[in-house]
Amino acid sequence: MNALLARYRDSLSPALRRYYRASLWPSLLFIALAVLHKWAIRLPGLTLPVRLALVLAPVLCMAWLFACYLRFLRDCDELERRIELDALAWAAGSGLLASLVAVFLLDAGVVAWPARQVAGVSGLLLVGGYGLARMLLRRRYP
Amino acid sequence: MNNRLRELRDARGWSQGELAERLEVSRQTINALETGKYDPSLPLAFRIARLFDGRIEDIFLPDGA
Repeated sequence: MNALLARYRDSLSPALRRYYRASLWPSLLFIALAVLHKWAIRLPGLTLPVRLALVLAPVLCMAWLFACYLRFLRDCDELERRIELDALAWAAGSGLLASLVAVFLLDAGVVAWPARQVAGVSGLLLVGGYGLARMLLRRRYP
Repeated sequence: MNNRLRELRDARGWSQGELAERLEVSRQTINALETGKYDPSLPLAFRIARLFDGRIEDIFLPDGA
């Protein structure tokens, strides 16, 4: 198991290793704050500033994570950057198409999905699409 | 585009990882270059040529050459 992990670590580029290290804290903090948000937002008697803080805190963590990603994009080598940008383009394109389909289906009254679910699934599609496209593109360049 | 990267690297006894370190790119990039799956940018092609004391056209050959 350790040998497998070491092999995986060696297969990562220095920029990717730095990105994984840098993204650990914002990711953990995001999960903790998202759980806190889910639990605390239902408490009665919360003032508006507290509610806003509960909403913005996980979003700020995600912005921190995004800043780490942008730094990785700047630091990585040209093939890695090409893979990342291709994956982002695929994810953005397919996410946009899925959103359009959802909007038109909702407008036409064909489906009656709650807005909250649509927003959540759109985000997941974007992230999942990026992950899938990145995995497939990386397999093209072993 | 074809290239003589593997031949030049073998002549110096370097592994893909060693060449990647010298060029400050990932090993994945070296492998993709050697297998012809990826063509380098002009700055990287110049770095490669400088490392092997040659000219770009001595290392990278157009298709059919």
